[in-house]
Amino acid sequence: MQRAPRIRRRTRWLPGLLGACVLTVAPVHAAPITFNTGLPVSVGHWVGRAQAVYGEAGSAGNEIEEVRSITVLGYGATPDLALFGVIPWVSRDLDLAAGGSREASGLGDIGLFARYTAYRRDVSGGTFRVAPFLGVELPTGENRKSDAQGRLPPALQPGSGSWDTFGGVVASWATLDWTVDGQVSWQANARAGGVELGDVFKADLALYKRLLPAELSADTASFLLGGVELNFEDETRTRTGGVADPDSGGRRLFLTPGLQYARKLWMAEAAVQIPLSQDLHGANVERDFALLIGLRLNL
Amino acid sequence: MRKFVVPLALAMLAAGPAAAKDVQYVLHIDGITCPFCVATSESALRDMDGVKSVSSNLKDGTIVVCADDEKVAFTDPQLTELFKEKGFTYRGMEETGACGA
Repeated sequence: MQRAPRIRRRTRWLPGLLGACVLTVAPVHAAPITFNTGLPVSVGHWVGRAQAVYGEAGSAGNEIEEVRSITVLGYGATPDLALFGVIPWVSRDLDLAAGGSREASGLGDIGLFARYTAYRRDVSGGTFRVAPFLGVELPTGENRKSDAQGRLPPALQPGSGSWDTFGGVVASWATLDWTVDGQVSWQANARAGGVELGDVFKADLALYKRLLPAELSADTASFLLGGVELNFEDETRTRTGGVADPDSGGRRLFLTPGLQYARKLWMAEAAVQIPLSQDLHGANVERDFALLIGLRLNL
Repeated sequence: MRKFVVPLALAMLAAGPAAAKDVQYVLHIDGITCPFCVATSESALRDMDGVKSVSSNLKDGTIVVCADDEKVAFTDPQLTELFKEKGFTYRGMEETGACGA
């Protein structure tokens, strides 16, 4: 049990990151990589996004590897309302300093959310939008997996077992040359099996510039975008049996340089997430890095 | 008289009914900022009966449509609604004559 909080804290950054990637949406521009505030989806159409993330973290000789894939489907219900489903799959591998390893993989907690574009201002070659969003994370991932050593700690389980809610607001300013997205969100995690993961506040900012073509022409049909994203998160302590885990929670700030290649029907993206600052409680696990690759399709 | 009437009748038959012609429209759209974003708008226009080609000009914020003028008669309310559903703001259109002009 003493390892569980560490693992949980350590592995939660990837779900958090990916959650940010898929849990926010606003239409009509290229959109950041670490959060989906720009996923374009119009009425009666679907947009799909698939991302794969590989991350490593470590503390006191314990090493954690995590591979996650997330499939996102969005549908435009009205010009302002879009509905999204997020299907995660996760594989986590913990190598203990004392020897041995533990691992788990499987379907994670499916997220459903809606985004409403409350404000929209279009100009020639630019747009500004503000969109609140609200959603729920279903307990679809298994949270009672075991191995020869017994029940796996919550952080290794693919699912939380709880119904969790989240919400926030995203704002986007996009032009033909630059795109700026910002969002703030809050996820309230509920208790399941005696464990209540800490609530998470996130603030994200993404800035992208069109690198190619340098000059637009009437024939321009693709963009290469390069930029950086800042991802801040503040997580409260996890509570087990009502008792706060002293080695859980804290603040993290990441810098994420990324590239996006956009064509009319698809878009490819890649980024690496590097920690700038990790002010963690107790012996919480520090994240080392994460690599993200993704593909988006207009369906 | 007959020598004039017969050729005239033949000429009228050869001409037949008024031939359909293709007309080019330039639609002015606000809010377009990338190729990926405008794809569904192009698709919606292309699916309209009588539309023969659609192309976007990101630099100018325009979409150029070549259409059969007997089947397509764009209206401002129609295009306003179409682009609203696609996430953009329709500003107006120009009919610029024959396609490719």
